[in-house]
Amino acid sequence: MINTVKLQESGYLLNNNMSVPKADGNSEYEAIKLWLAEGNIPEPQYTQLQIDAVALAEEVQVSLSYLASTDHKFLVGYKAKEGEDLVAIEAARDVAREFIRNSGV
Amino acid sequence: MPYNGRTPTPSPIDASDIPAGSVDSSKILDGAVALSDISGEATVSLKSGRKNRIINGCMRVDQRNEGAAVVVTGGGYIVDRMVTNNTTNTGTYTVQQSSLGNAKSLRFTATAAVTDLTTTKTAYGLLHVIEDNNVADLNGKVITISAKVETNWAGNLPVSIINSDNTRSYVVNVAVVTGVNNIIVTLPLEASMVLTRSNSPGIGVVIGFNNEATFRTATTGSWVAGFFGCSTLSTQWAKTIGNFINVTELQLEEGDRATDFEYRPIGEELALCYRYFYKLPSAQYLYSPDEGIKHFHFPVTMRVSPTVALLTAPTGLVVNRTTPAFVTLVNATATGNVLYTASAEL
Repeated sequence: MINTVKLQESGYLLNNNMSVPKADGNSEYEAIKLWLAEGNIPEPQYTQLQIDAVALAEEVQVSLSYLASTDHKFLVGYKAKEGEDLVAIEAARDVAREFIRNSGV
Repeated sequence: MPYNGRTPTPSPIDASDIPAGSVDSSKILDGAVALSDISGEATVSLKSGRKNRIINGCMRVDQRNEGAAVVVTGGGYIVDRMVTNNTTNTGTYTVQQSSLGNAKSLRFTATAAVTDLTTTKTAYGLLHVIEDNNVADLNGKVITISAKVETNWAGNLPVSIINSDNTRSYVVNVAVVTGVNNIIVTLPLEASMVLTRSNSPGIGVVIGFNNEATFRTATTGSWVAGFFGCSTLSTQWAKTIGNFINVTELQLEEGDRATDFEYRPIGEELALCYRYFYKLPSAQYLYSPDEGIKHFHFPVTMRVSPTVALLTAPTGLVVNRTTPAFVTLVNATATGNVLYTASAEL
């Protein structure tokens, strides 16, 4: 039974759990062809919400990585390198923390 | 010396001239009986090679459910290669791999009575579809279908044979009694029964079909146009709670008589099933997302590029491509187990 059909790179995602190739003779693909012939339109592979969620998760990951890569600069005994502005780095870390807090991830 | 024996019978000697037990192998010289001395009728039941066109007729392979019961409210495969369908919306039957004597079997039990079998509402019982490639040589020939079917009711069990495109049907009622029944149905296939020698659906065999309208015919024992699974005299067994049919040793073979059931080694039967459905036997661990593209090769080339369902998968993992030989999974962003099924059923 067809409940939902979404586009996938090489075929269709049927009922959110079956990847159906565009292969003649495949029973599910034959059923989808009939479903399309009836005028039905498959959904895009991802909704805008899903695309936004993936983008947000990636940005959060960038912020986390930045914090992890700069933690050591604020340990006792760390000596700033020539030209390194720890104040500016700390400000950037604050922005990263704020972004992560607000992201809800 | 006078002749005291029996007066010789004029040629040809017939069976009445040979007392029972008087001829054993010591009386027949090596080479005395040539193949040309034996009529075709005498050897008809001596079949060589593979004879059973049904895959998993022994009901032993159950990749999907591994012996667990399935409550049938829609359609789906049960043990491998055996499918059922319940479109009634009024009742259920439970299907489970079971046993009958020493054999594994497939048992259908009415667990909530089907009350509406009008129009196209059906409770299928067992359906097995054979691929064109495996039956195209039988066009125009006589075939015999046999099975053991246990029931707890007496009546007419319908056995139906459907052609490639569901446009021709042959329905037979087999009288059954409570207990184990040997079902034997012999029929001639029509010349164009199987449309092509391809990987498409060929002959369908249906046992225990329930319907009281569209798919019921008054004609039995001959080919009729249309799709019919039972006759007006068939017992609608699924209408009574507790009724069951328990089927095993399902065989379809060339010829006009049923021979002993062909038991194939389990490894061979499993490999035959893999052409249509494969479930990874145990989860495989994806140790790192960095493994990137992951190819899983199927143990047998499948009938067509299969539909793949990920039962367990790390975050992000999706199907990138399937072919009859392998599936490619990509985009995992985490580690974890991978478990999937691949279906190329008819």
